[in-house]
Amino acid sequence: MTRLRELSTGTRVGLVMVGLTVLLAVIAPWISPYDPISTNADNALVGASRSHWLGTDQYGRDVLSRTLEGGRFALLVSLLATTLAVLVGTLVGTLAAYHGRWVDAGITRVLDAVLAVPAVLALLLIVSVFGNNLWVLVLAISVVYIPAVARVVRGATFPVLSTDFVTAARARGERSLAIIRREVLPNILDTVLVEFAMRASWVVLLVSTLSFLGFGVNPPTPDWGLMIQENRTALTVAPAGTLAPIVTLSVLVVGLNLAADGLGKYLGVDRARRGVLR
Amino acid sequence: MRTTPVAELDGLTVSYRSGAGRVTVAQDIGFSLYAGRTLGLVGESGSGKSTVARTLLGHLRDGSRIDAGQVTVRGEDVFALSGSALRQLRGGVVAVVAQNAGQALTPSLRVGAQIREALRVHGLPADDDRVTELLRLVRLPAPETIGRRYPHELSGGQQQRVAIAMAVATEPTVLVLDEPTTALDVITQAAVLALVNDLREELGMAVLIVSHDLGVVSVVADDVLVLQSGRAVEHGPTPKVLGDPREDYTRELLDAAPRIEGVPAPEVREAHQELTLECQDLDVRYPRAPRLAVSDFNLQVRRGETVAVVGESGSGKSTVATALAGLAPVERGRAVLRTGDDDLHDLLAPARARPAAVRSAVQMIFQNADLALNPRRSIADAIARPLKVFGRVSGRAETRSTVLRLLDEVGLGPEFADRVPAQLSGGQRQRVGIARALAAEPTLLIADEITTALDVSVQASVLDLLAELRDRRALSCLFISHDLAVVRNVADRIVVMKDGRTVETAATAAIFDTPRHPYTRSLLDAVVEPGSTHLPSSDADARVVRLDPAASLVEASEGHWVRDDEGAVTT
Amino acid sequence: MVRLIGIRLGTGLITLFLAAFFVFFAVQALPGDVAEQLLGQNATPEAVETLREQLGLDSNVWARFVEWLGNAVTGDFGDSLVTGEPVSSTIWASFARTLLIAIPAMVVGIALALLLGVWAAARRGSRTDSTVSVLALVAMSIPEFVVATVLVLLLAILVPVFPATVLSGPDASLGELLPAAVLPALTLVISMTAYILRAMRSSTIDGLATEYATTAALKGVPRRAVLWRHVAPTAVLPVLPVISINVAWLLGGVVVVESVFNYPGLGKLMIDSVSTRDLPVLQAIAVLSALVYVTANLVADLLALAADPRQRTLHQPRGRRRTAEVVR
Repeated sequence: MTRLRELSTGTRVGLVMVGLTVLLAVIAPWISPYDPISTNADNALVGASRSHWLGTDQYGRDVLSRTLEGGRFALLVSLLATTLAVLVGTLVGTLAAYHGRWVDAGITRVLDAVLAVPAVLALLLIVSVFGNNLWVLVLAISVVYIPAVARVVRGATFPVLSTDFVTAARARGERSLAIIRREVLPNILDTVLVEFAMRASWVVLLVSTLSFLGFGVNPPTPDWGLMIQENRTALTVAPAGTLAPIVTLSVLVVGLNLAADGLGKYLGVDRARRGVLR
Repeated sequence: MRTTPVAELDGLTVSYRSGAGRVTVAQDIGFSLYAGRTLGLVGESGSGKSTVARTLLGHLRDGSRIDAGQVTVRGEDVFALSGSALRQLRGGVVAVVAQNAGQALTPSLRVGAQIREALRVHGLPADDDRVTELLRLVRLPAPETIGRRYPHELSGGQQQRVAIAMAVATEPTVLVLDEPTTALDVITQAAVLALVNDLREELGMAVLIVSHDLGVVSVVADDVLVLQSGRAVEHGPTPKVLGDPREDYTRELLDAAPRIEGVPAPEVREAHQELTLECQDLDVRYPRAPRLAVSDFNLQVRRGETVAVVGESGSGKSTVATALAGLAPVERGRAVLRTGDDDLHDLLAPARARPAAVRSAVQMIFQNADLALNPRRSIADAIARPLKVFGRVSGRAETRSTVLRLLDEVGLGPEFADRVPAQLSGGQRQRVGIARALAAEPTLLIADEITTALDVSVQASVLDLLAELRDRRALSCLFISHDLAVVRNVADRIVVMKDGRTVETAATAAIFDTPRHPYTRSLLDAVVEPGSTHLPSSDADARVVRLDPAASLVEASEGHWVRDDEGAVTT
Repeated sequence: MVRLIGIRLGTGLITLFLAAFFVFFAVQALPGDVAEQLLGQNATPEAVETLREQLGLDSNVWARFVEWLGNAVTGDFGDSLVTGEPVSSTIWASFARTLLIAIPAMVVGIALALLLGVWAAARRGSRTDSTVSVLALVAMSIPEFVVATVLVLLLAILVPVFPATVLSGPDASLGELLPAAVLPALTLVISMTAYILRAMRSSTIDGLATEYATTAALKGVPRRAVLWRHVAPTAVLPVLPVISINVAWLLGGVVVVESVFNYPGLGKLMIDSVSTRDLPVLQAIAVLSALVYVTANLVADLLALAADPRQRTLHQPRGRRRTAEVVR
């Protein structure tokens, strides 16, 4: 569909960055030199060496192994949550726009109310009540982002609804879901794709933030956010323990943002203006 | 005889970047502008006329450049000017009025402030008196106070007058008008054009007017330059070029232009007697709108007959179409449709609630073919959809053959079936729109401003197609338009609307020969077409008749109904 | 005009009510018994019973919601489960300390973002523009806790200018808080500026491409005046909602930043309350942030109303059809 050659350099760099991080996370169990959770008190906080390329953390765990495996949880949660949020958000957004008036006003108010509680706060609230297992996180993050996706999709749907091909379909008496599926969705697919790329970057940030705050993954599972939290006190002694996850996390999110920007430009969706809701 | 020109284009060639290569938009264009004279630059879309005109201000679009030739204003090469000299030229020596004043005026500034700014940046006195004087010069009502308004608080015609006041504020040597009336209604257009003529005389400017409309050029220009795809086709005095064209292309344009004067009235066609559509006392109101969009609307359409509904924007003509298609709520009244099998159907229910037979019997064709086809679906898909929804075909093979037959019927080959709308021209898209409507096998076709967005040459062929189909299939047709000249060639009868009400309805020839309502007369007066030289006064749009709320339609002569407002001829 | 403001105010109140509703029921919708959940499996039946009574769990959930909401409107969010003190007094003290970092961050962030946005747009395609754009992209890609960590490394450890943490917690004096507020505020500025900057740049670029900008330039108006007088006032309108949402979501960033710097504000209180499962405090914080969101939106709406003459006077009902616009 998308011819790679037509994409800008930035987009291609972004896609490579994302691809690389995802690839490493997938094959991490086979290439990690050490077990990421095995501790060794005698070998704590050593610097980079031939046996430990990035040194070890305060429990003597290998930083390289932990960094390689540290994206798995965040990526899995992000993929699932983003997909769910974008799917449901798209459906809610198009339906609200299509039905207009009271339906739209009602849905908009509810979405706004969910948006009113900042994502981090909402997640902390949910996690403190329901615990932090994978599915709770996925569902909670989706719920937090559905309103933002729905609002953007709703905004993108209105111009399509005022076109004459939708008028023609309405005059033929077609049903709302048929019109949304045949006439509306193909024309907002660009917006939805860009939404997906952008939400993914935010969800990754949110998941790592949660882990950093100690409410994401449970130690000793390796995770970038958690690693930064654990190792930042030893920042001056063994900087690699903090810097390595910072670099990988940044590469992933910068890559996602570059890809989203480039995709938006390629598809003619201005995300800087429309995609403002985090 | 002539003095020296104030501005000259010489061998001008402009191109812009497109992908890897460059596309030439103007090729070797040359002309001269003289004080007190108007040159008309005419061409269809894509002819490069706007690009050429704007070079006089030293302005090119991003990615464009001058490949050859030069532009001289008062002896100076415009593209060699320094930044500050160029600013002095712009607005000071050469001023421009753009097509759509609604978009050309800054929304956050009062119009008076925008005129004042034009004076101030050129170091001219910019007190309130001068601003008021300029507002009066362009014949705006209440010139003392109108300057305090924001652009959106003015009508389209008033906005365009403000834009003109802003342009002539510095008493420039050259005034460039880029499609100045295209977005305006016909009465406003005529008044603005008259204003342009007045100002040229009062201020002694050289005027360059860009237009796609030969009629506009005919009433304001002393000379005409016809452009086609960036090349000059014909250049000479207006009466000569329009009266005795040398070039085939000019002749084609002239032939395609819809006309009222000098053409025989359309022949009266034998009409079927049975009524397809009958509306009585329809009132239509959009949700939560304070006023009715259409009130007391009456209409009868016979089988095989075309009835045109004519009016300016806001007259409610499109609302009538929307309501009959079941997409606007009818508050009151009666509308009955007789389908092919002589069944009578109520036409008041919203589309969703109508039986399939009614939905297929009423089909619409839309104004803007760009928006009428889903850009993500193939042409075959678009035409097949009504076939499927109304169960006209079964099976893939039959669908395909029916689609191809319909394409053929609207003059498109089978190769179009698998293209997407972006690969078609405007005229071709409009044909697809017609084919899609035909696929439902309608009884009543509603054509809403279907030629407005098309170039004249394409417009004529689409109208011919519609007439042919109507005759072949004995279709009833409701033709919505703002353009009396277009309507004259296609309609059997005409309904003239204003402010949601019918002011006059009669057979086509009667409307044109003996218009009885003052509003119809001012509409006809305002029509400009190739060869026209007369214009109503420059404030005609402010004096348009007001409707008397107590008036009603009376039958003045057989089949000729007129609203008995002041000035209407009822006997 | 007054009616418009009234409508905005009304929808704001509805949003606030719904948010409070969601927060209350998210917490109360615990599977099983809230009291048992809170106390864990080893709790004695007496302790559970005491807590049930304290939370009023024996009465109907709707009745509890009405009572809670009624009290909340008067500013009474009940007592903390941990300290037993009234929630509101704890929250207001923390909120005041949070404002100490949030308000400077807001003012600096918004001003910086708008200026840089217009500036980058005016130099679109230049090196300045691409530098600003890349920096903004990076700033929005890096989570607040990383920015905070890096700032600590640079300005508290390598070059010790500012303190990295507040040591004395909620008892800290203003004299101790002020220097400690600099790095948290700076962190918030960096993450907030990026979004607003990108929106303003984009909107200004659109504004420069409008016909009225061209018309002004062709009228002989200098470029700087075109930018600030003709383009910027209208270009800022679509950015207002972006600003309002970023202001509202500043509270989310506050949680992270205060946790990193151990700053005794609302965010720190939130983290502590999550650890101790102090539900009344959490509910109150969530409602407070919803109030900030609604207020920020309202302010943005009113500013738009004040800045856009079209919004003030446009009463025409929107018909389904566009007026016939011919674009050639």
